[in-house]
Amino acid sequence: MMLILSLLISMTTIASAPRHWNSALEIVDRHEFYLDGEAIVKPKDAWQVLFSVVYPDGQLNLQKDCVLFRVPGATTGELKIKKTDKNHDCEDFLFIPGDQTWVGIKALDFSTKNKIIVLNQTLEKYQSETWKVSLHDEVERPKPTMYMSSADYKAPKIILLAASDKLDLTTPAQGMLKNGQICHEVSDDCHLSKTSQCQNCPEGWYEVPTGCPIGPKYCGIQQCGKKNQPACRRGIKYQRDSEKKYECRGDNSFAYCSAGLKIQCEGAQAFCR
Amino acid sequence: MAQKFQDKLIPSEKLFTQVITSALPEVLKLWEQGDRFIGKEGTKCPLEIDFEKKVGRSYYQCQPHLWQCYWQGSVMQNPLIKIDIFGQTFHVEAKASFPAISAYSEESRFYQMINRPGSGINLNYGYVVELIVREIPGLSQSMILADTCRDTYLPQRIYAYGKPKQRTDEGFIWDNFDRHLFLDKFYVTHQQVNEWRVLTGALDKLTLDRKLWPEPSLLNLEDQIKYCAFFGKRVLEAKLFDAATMSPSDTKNPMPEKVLHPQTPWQRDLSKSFLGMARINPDYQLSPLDCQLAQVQGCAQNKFFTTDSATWMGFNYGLGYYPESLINEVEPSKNLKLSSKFLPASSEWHELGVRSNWKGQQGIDDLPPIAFRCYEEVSL
Repeated sequence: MMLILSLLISMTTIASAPRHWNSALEIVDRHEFYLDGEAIVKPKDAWQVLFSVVYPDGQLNLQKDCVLFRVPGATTGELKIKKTDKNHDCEDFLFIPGDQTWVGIKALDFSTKNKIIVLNQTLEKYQSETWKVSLHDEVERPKPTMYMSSADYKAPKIILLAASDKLDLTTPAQGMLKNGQICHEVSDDCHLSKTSQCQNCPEGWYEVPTGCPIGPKYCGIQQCGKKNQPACRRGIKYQRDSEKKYECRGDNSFAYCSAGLKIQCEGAQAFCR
Repeated sequence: MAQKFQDKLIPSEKLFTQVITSALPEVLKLWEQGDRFIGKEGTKCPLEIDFEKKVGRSYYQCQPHLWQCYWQGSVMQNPLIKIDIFGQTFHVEAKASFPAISAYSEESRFYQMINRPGSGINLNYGYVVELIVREIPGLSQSMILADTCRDTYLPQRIYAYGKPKQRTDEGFIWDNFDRHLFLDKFYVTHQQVNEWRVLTGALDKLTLDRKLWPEPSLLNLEDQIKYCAFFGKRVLEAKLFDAATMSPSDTKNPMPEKVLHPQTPWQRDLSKSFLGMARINPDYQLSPLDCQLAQVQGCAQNKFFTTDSATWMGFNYGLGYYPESLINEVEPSKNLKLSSKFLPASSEWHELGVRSNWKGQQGIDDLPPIAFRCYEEVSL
């Protein structure tokens, strides 16, 4: 049995992408001009960011591997990987040594479609190497449907953690917000300025209705409808009148307060007094 | 240091990754459908979990104590996941690499519960486990298993709240368009509250009687709110309870002209149900089917985690079972669904939208024990 296993291991291709890439949640920073599977020939002798791979580390914070390539020209090409946090710009590492570097590359092409990273290299003496990684965890938020659970909606059922990191939850997560902090900004004219960060609230979040389809949200425990608290959201479609315009100082039937309290406006936001 | 490609290659890592990836569907099956792995003889891990007839199979799904029991070898003798790949069989096992919870047992754990808001993984909580492949020593893979069994989606549509004064009234209606609401299917249990206690270090407050673990936790309102908030959730609201239990007449039309207020989850008109019959006939004999729809006083057995009472969107215990704490921002004093197994079938509290009041403290005002559950709104 061990002989078969040894043969099996020797049969597998000897080039491997970093093992923790199979924990990847997403691929970002993909080079906008290089086509899938097409050899990279320009600009010669210049460093380019090909793509980066986002994955959770041992503290469950998101890290990314920037994958950079110096296009062959006067000398052969060079590939490097630089680990950084998810929000760092990979362009900053163009002229900084990578954490891992491979030299002697005569040609390289890559693709990132269908949740699979493929990176083909032709080396000196015309040997070829291929990295192929299926992204098990890549996030594709589904459309919520009947009987779906919140966990199924928010994340993959199983999230693989980077192999090199041991679980370490002794320090607070990097992105944690504080109660009272805004976690989803919405302007008075209903424009969503950023994506929601409310998943980073320590004790959930609450919304302050404004008559927009979605109101601004803040970290903290919801107490809507009570005296001096935000009004509760009632919706803008239950009246079945798509022409109707809602705003706090006009038609405020998009919100409600507990029995005995009335809606009072603070700017566009509805509160109960 | 720069290197040629071949210098840095560890083929067993690639094989390991392939084996683990192939094992994931089976890992997920063991996690989400753990009940299917329990044979006729049940489980043999009294410190973790008991297999009891009065507890429905849903309790054993996404159940960390069953995961512990399984990998300790107390569900089957040689726990492993067999993977055939490249004509070779590999054996995947979980590793007991997490600290013991001494209040439960001195055994190292095969999982560790985590609560990590602010990390990038977009899960309020989950269970970290570590897998190894017997034939490829020296490598392991940690992963988070999500609790995909707990709650159920409330579809976006117009809903009714409460019991209107006149049956022809539409009463208070509202809608949840552009909102993603997920409601707990069952009451929060002692076992779930124990997890909260472990994560917050309140080990002195653990419920150690394993037989009580599947039963509803009886926290005071203040702790109910804290419990739900800890997991990024909220205590269930009265209008959401109504939305989950008042079956729409046409589930395909989210904006009907008229929104109905059914009196029971399974029949619009209560007078045609066994509860209506019991009101007019003091000698009414409860049938087993009645007790599946709503466990009321006189039902033979206390069952937990039954799905017999599931409503149109997969929510359980619409009427009967336990009194349930509800946050009510429309009429704050009506914060208790009193319909329960503590009241006879003839009680007028057994009707959707009919609610009583509690002050938030268990064991006062002559009220029976009060259960609760949470819901989660996922920010878009």
